Amino acid sequence: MAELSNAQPSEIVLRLAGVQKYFGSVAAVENVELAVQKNQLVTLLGPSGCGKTTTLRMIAGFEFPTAGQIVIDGKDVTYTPPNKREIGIVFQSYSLFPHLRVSDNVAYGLKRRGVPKEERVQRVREALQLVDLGQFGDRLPNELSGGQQQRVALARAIVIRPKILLLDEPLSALDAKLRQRMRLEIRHLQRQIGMTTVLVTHDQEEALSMSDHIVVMNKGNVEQEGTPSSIYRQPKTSFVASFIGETNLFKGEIVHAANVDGLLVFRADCGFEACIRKADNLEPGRQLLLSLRPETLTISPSQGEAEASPNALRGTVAGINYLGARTVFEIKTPTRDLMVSVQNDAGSEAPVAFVEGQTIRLSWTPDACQIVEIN
Amino acid sequence: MAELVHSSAGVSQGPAPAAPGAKKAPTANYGILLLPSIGTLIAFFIVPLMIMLGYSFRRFDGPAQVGPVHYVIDNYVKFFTDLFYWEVLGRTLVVAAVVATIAVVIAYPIAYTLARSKSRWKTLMVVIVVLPLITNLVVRNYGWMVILSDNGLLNTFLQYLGLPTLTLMFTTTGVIVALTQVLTPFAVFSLFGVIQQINPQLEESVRGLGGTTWHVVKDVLIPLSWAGILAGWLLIFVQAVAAFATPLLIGGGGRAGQLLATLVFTDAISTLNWPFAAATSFIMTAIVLMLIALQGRMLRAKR
Ligand SMILES: Nc1ncnc2c1ncn2[C@@H]1O[C@H](COP(=O)(O)OP(=O)(O)OP(=O)(O)O)[C@@H](O)[C@H]1O
Ligand SMILES: [Mg+2]
Repeated sequence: MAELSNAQPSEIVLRLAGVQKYFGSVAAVENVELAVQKNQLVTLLGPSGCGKTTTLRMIAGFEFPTAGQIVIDGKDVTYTPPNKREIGIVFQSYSLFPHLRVSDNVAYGLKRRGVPKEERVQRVREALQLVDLGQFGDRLPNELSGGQQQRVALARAIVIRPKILLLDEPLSALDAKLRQRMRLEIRHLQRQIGMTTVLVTHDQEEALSMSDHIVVMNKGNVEQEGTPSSIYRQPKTSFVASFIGETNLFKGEIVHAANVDGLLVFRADCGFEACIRKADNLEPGRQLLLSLRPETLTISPSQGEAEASPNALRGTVAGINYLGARTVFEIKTPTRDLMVSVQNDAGSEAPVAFVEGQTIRLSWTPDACQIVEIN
Repeated sequence: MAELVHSSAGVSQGPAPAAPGAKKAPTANYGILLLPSIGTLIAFFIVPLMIMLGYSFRRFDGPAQVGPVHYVIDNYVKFFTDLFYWEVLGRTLVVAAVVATIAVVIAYPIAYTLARSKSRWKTLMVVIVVLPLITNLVVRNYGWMVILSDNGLLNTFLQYLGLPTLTLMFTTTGVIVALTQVLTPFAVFSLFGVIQQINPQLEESVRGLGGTTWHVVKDVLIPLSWAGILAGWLLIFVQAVAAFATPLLIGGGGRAGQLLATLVFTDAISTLNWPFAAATSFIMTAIVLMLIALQGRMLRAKR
């Protein structure tokens, strides 16, 4: 375990080069490039049908690519069958062997590897303890709850000490509460034992909270990749901007420099205007997208005197969605409706501060404005 | 409001207390629907069976029964004391067991392919599988005669290849071949259902954990389709024991054709020894019932 965590951070365990998969004439995966570093958790994130599962199945060896190359630990495994790849996989439906007890389920991969009985028993016990199921070895899978089955599947995959752990929507069958907890548990476990992991999900929150690195996929291609915060804060395409988190998206162009130094004016097609930071690649006249995250907008009462802000306008409260930790307001402005998310203070009844129909002042900083290329 | 509280209490108690009340009412109504079939069963199955049971204890006083009827156990004694009948019994059981085993082995890959297939031709495949069952018995057996006889299609083909010819007509092997062909569909269908229930991802789990195709078969497919294997085997065994037309036509008048069912047939139709035919039938039935009981035990042991 110690040598695992001391490994070079840049060591690449898995590489996909120009991987493509056609089912007949249907392109499930068009072109995927991927490099997974040792001990990292990389997430393939994308909408339904974008080819995440197919990509994962090619990494596992259940499907062979139509074109491209898959390299694990420096070895070309593009057409190697799954039983020769040293991978651990957890399916969405867990796929525990229903006729085998939990401990036999976990022991299965060790048996296939010819691990002697005593070591097997020892390692199964350790793996079950690791997922907090030390007492459940004698049960049958259908005598466990969904979350427990999920953890057995996890134990079964990691007990063989695979080179790569593959997780296909491992939490989608669990209820919201358990999903939250399992996110943390899986992440914790993955860090603890140092396990190179590829996770597939269509849940952006799951991806943001669990990953070292996110690969956003769309229609069989990689749309953007990077750390969770870079994906969230600097979306490079409109697809990424709207798929990851909520946002107010405007189509328009840079019209001219603002009267304040270092700022430019962006005018959306709908007439909405905003001051943005100057940057080299922002020449006037080019069609661009502006993304304003709901949490970067500030609402204040329209009567009160406001601090000077280059970006401010009047609007009326059209809708209030109280979500506990935060409240999402729908604000009607002369140009178009905007979503604004406000963190609720503990103890104060935040939504009461504004009422529906009330006129308010909306402001935001130039840094809140993200420019996204149209593609 | 009171109703609401009541119903929510019922739900929170779980299905166990709710079940008896919920079940009772429908059963009482649906029971009536079963009456016609139960009536038919009694009139045309149980009653004749009882009459036959009576026959099996009658003393055989020649084909035309005259004078008083004597009830004896002679028929059963005759069966179990004559080595000839032991031999026929043994041959019957061996033929049926071999047929059932071969049929299940042949049926498994077919059933697996059908169960896993997403092809448009699935319906056509099912039709091909049932074809032997919907082919007329006489046509089917004469077809086999054309193929199996000494100068038949098979031997002509073997000769053409320069291989030694085979004697299959009027042999036990011939009977087994013909019976296997017609009975295999039963195994296909009894296996199809259970294989379809097996999550295909379990097979991938085996491979992902380092198993080969052999491990998929041994560790997932066979254990999880065990009930279908047993049921299919038994279904075919029972029908092979009861088959008489195929053994008569393919097995002929010699030993190969002498199985329990053909024995009953000749006793009842030719020698008109109905009491002995009835006794033989009951011995057959007893064997089959014992096997069904054994199957039940084997299934329970697996759980
Ligand atoms: N075996 C197959 N045969 C034909 N088409 C397939 C097959 N498997 C996947 N596809 C197609 O390939 C595309 C990508 O499928 P894939 O399962 O990889 O999507 P996904 O990103 O995992 O989606 P989801 O989030 O819904 O699971 C889909 O359009 C799907 O219909
Ligand atoms: Mg999927």
